[in-house]
Amino acid sequence: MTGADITSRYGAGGYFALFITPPGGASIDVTFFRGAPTDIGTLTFADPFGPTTAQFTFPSITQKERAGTGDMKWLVPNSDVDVLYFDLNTGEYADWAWEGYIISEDITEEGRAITCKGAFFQLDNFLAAPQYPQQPIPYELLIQDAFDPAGNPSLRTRALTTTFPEGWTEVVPRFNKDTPWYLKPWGVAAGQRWTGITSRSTGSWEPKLTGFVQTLLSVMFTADGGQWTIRHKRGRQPTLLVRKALRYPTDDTYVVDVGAHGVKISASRDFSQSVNVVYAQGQDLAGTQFSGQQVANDGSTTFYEPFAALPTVYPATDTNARLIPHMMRKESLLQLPQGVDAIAARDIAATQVRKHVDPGFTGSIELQVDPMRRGVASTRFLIRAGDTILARGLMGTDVLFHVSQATINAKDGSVSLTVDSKFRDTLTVSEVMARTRDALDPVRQLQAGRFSVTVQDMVKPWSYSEGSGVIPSGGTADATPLFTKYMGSDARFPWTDYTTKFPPRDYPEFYVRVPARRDNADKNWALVNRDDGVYGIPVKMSQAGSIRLTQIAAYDKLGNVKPVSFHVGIYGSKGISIVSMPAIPQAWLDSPTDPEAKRARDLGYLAGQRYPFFKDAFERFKGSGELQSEPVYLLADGANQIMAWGNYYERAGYSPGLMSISGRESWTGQLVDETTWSYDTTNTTDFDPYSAENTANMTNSGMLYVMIYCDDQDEDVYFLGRLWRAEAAGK
Amino acid sequence: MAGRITSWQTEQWLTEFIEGTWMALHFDNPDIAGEYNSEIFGGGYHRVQAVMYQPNDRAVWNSAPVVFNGLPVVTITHVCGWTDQVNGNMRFSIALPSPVRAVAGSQYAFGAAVLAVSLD
Repeated sequence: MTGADITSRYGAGGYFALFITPPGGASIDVTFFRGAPTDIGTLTFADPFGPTTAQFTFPSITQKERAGTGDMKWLVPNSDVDVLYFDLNTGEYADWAWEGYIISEDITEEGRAITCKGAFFQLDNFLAAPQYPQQPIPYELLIQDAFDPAGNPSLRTRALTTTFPEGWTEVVPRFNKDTPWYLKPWGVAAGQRWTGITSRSTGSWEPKLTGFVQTLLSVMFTADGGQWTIRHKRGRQPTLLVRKALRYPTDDTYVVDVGAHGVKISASRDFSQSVNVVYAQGQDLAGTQFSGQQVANDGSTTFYEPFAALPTVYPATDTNARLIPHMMRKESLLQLPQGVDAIAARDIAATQVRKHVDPGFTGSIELQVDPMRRGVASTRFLIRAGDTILARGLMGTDVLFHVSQATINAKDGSVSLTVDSKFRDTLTVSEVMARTRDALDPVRQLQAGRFSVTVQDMVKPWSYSEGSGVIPSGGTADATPLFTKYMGSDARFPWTDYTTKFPPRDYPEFYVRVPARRDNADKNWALVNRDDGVYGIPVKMSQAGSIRLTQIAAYDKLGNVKPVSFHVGIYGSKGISIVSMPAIPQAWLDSPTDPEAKRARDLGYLAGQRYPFFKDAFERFKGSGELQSEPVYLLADGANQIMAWGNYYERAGYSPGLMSISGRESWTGQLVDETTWSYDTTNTTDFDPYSAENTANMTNSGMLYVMIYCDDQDEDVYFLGRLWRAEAAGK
Repeated sequence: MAGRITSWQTEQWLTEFIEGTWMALHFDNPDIAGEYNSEIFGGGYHRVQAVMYQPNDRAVWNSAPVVFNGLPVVTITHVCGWTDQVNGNMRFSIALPSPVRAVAGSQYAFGAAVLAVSLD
């Protein structure tokens, strides 16, 4: 049986055909199943993203049957669903499709009902994670990346294509040699067409489509009021293109007459939403604030000048010839995004007045008949969200609507459209540029003496290739070559694919060594020899910044992760050494009930030895809330501790677990912490903030120092770690 | 039964256009957004009087160019005729074939004999 036999409920001039493709299987035509026509309920489209929802019922499937078996092998979760429209006039399928996949199944007396979601909404199964890109990325590339099938395994849509409007003139500018690399947009070349909007945000764990991509689209406006949108094309093809803000019908506009048989128009105008006077508040790039504030000469009253107003209502003075006293005024305050100046604010406010002085029409159009298009009747079933429709004769004139949603009800042959005569929420280019401005782009203030750099380490920059953040680096032990030369980009913490190839036994220079446990706690610290003594392990950093991820692991001599507990501290002082560390108090060591004190005694430790794991070591406050007065509990003055992990209550070396939960001997030998912490090396003697050249010549500039303690080992144990910077940083 | 208005009578009516027609620019359809609400404001915009020829063949034509100077940033969608330089009543509105985008300080003009008002 072919679709040509289907009753008129499928609409004149054609019919819908339904195909289902189970995961990994072949497409099956289920327009009819077991001889019964499939009940195509509703097909909904929205702009952006095209197909949104659909419902189908298979009347020949009983409640007793189990889906996914026998002749219903195709009826399984997540099967692809394609609805095509066969045009009897042309004898082929129209360039139209509802495409999606099954998301739920209902077992009813009327048959087996399935509900489907539009194909692009599969992207919401993925989350947009923060990735900390080093350079700003054009919006279109961020969206392209979000839709990338290679980056979203199992995604069934095609790679996104971008279509620039005809005559598009916005191209990537040529940057001069003084432009810092971290301000240049990534992924585009000078002269190439682009949207001109960039961001460093790759998401913050929101759903990719309705969270991340939708947020990007919400500010993607063009100079002429158009908005970038994502349209669906048959074949699960997403396309990024500009939806023009049309004021006049085009050849593609559908036309209906108000009052015609089979046309139900319901439109409303909410006059309470009208605005004819707009005040504004903002702050421009130079830090100057504005709100139109004016003060009477004697200071007795303060009033505000609107940034735009219809002259029929403002100013209400005799000098305003266009004033119409009986016209109602409606005021609104515009909060501008930071970076918009007062002149641009006037344009934006005027745009707001023009846009909102008339609330426009919102409503719905229900069609039981086909509208006209290019002078001939055109099937209503092919109207999609994003199309335009002209209602002739509405309120004595013709009103052009944008179709924001289209729902096809194949059961009763109707098509319901959600329409809007105004293109809502349009932003001006000034607003777009302000909202999407790169936070690292430096600005100069109007107020003198307020300048500060946006990149904190311009004098001594962070550089991954030079070893910034590598533990150890900058001293006799240096793992920089291991990470930058020998490890591939696929290396993942704790890097055992590589530590076993470059083990401590053969490459001791890559690791921080802590010797086999001694019976003197002072001897269980990792230290580095310098001419004037032994000190903490140097780590190359930069002038200042924030660390977003800390990774440290312990290894045996063969490069396998060694399960031990440990303490790690990071210090700003070059002189940090064991004598800076807390010392075992006699009172704690003598404790008869504390198992950790007993262990320390059993290991042979004595009071006064430097040890991180006695009760309340490092803590400035006692359990009582009083400040600690005993110096042995605290670090020596000037230690400049920046961050430390591992104490009496919670030792380091148990990631992803905790010692307090999983037990003392459930150690993993690993520490992973995503707590963001900051450092600043400019307050050391090895930094000249007045001269980048001098600072570059100082061997220890931009350096931090690491103290590691470990006493769970019967043989030498080796440590390796990395610190990852939060801000944009050198490559 | 259909009748016919004489040319004399139509010319009497069209004379009103000669005696005072002020041209205005609009950013929205005055039939929907409202006649006053849709007229351009800001910049150096003001209405411009249209100078008309005497009625001829049941129509009147503008005899001199109509020039608007100092426009604000705006999209012009309609050109309308009013009875007065300020406020007053709207005589007619004409939707432009396609919207015209004006930049700040720009000019919009149409030449002589471009505007015609006829009563058939």
